[in-house]
Amino acid sequence: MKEPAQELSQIADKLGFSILWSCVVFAILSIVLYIVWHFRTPSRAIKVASRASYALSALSFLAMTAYLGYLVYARKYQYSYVWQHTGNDLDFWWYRLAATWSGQEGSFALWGFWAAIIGFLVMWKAGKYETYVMPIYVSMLAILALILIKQSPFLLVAPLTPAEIALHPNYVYPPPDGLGLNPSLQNYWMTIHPPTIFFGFASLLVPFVYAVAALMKKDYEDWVPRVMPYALLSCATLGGGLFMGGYWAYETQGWHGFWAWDPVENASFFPWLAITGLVHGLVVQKSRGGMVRTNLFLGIFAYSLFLIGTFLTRSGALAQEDANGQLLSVHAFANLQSSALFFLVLMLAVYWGGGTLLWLIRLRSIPVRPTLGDHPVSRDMALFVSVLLMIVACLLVTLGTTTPLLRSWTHQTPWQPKSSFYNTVMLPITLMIALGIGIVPWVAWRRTNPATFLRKLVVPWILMLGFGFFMVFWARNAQFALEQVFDPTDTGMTETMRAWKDSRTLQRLSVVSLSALGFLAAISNSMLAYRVFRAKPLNAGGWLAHVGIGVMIIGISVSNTYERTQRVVVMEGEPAKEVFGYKIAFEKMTGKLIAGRPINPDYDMSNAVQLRVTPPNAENIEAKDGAKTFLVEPRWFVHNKHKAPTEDKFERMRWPHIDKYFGHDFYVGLANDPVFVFPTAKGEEEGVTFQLKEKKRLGSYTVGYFEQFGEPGKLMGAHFVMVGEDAQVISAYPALQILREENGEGMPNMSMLPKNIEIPELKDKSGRPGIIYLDKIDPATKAATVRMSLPGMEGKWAIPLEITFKPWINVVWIGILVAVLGALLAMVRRIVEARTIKDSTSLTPPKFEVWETPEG
Amino acid sequence: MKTAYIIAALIISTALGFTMWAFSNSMTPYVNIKQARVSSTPVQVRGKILRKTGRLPYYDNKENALRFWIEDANKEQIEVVYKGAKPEAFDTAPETAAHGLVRDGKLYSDSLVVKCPSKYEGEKSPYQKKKSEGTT
Repeated sequence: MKEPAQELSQIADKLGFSILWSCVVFAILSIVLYIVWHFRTPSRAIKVASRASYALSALSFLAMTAYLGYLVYARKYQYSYVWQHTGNDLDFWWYRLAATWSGQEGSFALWGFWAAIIGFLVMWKAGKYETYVMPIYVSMLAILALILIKQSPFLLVAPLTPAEIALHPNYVYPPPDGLGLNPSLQNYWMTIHPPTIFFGFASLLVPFVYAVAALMKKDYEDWVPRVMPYALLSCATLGGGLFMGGYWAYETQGWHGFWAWDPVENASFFPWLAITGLVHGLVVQKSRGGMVRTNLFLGIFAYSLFLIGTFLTRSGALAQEDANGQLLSVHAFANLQSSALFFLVLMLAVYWGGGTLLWLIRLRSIPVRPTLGDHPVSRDMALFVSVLLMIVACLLVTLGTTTPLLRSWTHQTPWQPKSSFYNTVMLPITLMIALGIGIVPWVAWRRTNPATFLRKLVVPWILMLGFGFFMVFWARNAQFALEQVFDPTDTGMTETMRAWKDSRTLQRLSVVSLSALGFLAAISNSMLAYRVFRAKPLNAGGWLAHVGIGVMIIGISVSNTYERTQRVVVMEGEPAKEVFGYKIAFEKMTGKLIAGRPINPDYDMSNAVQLRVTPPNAENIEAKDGAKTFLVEPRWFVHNKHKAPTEDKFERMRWPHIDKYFGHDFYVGLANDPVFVFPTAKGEEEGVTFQLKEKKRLGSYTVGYFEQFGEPGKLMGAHFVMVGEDAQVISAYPALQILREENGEGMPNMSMLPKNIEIPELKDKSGRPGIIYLDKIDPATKAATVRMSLPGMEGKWAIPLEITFKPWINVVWIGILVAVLGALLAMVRRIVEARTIKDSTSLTPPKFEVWETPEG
Repeated sequence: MKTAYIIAALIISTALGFTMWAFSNSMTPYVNIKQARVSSTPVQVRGKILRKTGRLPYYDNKENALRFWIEDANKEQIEVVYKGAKPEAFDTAPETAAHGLVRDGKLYSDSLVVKCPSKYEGEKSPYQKKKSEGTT
């Protein structure tokens, strides 16, 4: 007999699949109807039916996502996906909902969700392009639905058979609790970063379908104004999404940095480079009529790159270990099932392969404008070179990311370039891009009078030189500061430091030139942005974005080169340690003790290690409330403590504390879990060794090893007796459990019985119980080694810290924000322009706009 | 268009050459423990993290370093002294690839790549088994 609740869920499960299938069916119907519409004189009925089919297909996908969101939010643990990705400990409603996209299937759903919504906009605005763009667009939605049918979030956790239930006495169905959301995802960025970046990914489909439509129609001009707003939208949202991901990593992952050139990060970076290249190419085409072939290629390539990235990170291609067992990424990859992977590969082959093939076929018939870029100092040339640089950067990052795959295909040892590779190759490209951004405001389309150009450049150039000199001295000081913490014999130095040590002159030269050129870019573009903004506010968007990029280049080059990291151990009850002028002392542990596990405070996410920091200029601070010091709380907590069977199966999570200042961040991370250090008897390295029947004076207690007990092969224990000054006699029975599972080198694997560690009768001043921890017992002599923490002879916490002084990090964030705002402003401008497109205008030759010229 | 093509060719060929150079520069050889012991330049060693009494990973608060033992495919073992923030997944990771240099018989490492085990691998939950209902 099935219980009614279970019966319901079976139906609900079928519901999920039915909605997915309805998405596929209506998508196919929509494709067929659009094709009929295209080849026959369209009747009103056909038009309405085509659009209604798309609407139903898209609505199905939206309904499916909403349904999945509901299942996750309502904690329907009978669904495997729900069981794996959320748990009862997730309280905040936003996180409960955000758990929907924490898994593989959920992120595909999020992708399709945005694609379905953007599709309505595309359908509404497509005009005469509708029968070209919509069939391709809706086919994507169908493939996403098919992937989710093959790799479904609607699978149920299987109920056990009666025979299996006998083995699990506490078994209930449906499961009462899920595995929980990974704590690194329980962060406000989790609620906003994936939706933003997947919106950016989904929107890449629009330039793709328009490029393909333009190739099919052989109309290579009309798609430009139509696609511009979408391209800018992708550029802004992807850029914003990348920024959020970087900030998230910086804030919670304890990387001490925001970008690690990891495959997952690269996979979202290279589509951004391609779409940004497209934005610039489209501007050239709109203004001067050139770069037609490049734009069509980039429209197809940007989306294909996203598909390639998805394939790389989802297929397990990079998760595999190579012949040498090289591990290729720090991100955890969950692999798609092969049937779902088939659709992903199909998608890649059809869309990338088909699009590129069509482009190649049409290549000869696409008009070329011979006058474009024949003058080296012109805006045409500047944009041409910038697009080229972005394509080169894009290919380099793609190449680096796919290296392990390419090498394994050619039967070489797979190997992945380290981040130093990317840093090295991106340096000259960034230098050229910064220079280009810096001078582009002062060159006119077609041809610039060199004298005028140079005259206009005088002010920004002088300002740049001023900033450059400032940077030379700043870098000198920063280098001295870096040298102070730099230990040449330390093999544990970071890669940045090693690179810096190898070539300090080159390093300083790069930082000064990069930041100076970034400054030139920011200053030139602000000057023009201000002027344009006063005349036509909407037209300032592009220039504003350039200001942001310039500022970001300054921030990245300075903060990454001159960050300083130092490692210290702060001990409880000992004097403060000084790092970068800050004095750091242990304040307290704020966690509750777990009964029986007194050296493992019950940390949840709100608990922390508290450290008191005295800043360098504390004496001079006008104390407002008398406090010249402040507290930092790097967090350390156990997140599976209710589920882990033994202490060594605990998963611990560390979150850094970032103290933000205007000019720098003071980044305090735990280098390791805090360690409880036991006091040692005189002359002993670790712990205290007792012979049988031996007595020792420890603290204010006389401790005696009374007898040894245990069961051969199962348990070894020691009976200790403690006598205090008040003649109270206390017994403790620490014991080691012998685990059978692992057994290497003839040494049995033993673990401490947790309930025997604590001596509750003994409490020190801070309320911590006495602790006795049995290290080992020699089976022959029965000598026992224990670690003890008793009143009068207390153990203390050792807090291993890794502290990073990150200069100018705020400059990076400010730059990115300005760049994203600029791109959005540019998008608004292009939306306004696109309103004037009439479907009939394509017969007249395109009119090239006159941009705001520097002469004006 | 001529000038543009010349500039394009220049940029692409420079980028290509520079990339090859950077590529070969950033390569760290991948070796076993035996080879690591005699190498004078940084290497990468991959091995199983030992977790048994006497060879348990622990934090050395005097050196401020994480110390643990790894065993490579040839069953050779070496102690790793890692100075850096402990990777999040280290506690549950079966294996690691350590980048570093051997001195005095110990591998001093500055970077660890840790393979994340799939969540709760090996722990038997009665709910682990999946079954599809109503699939195609």
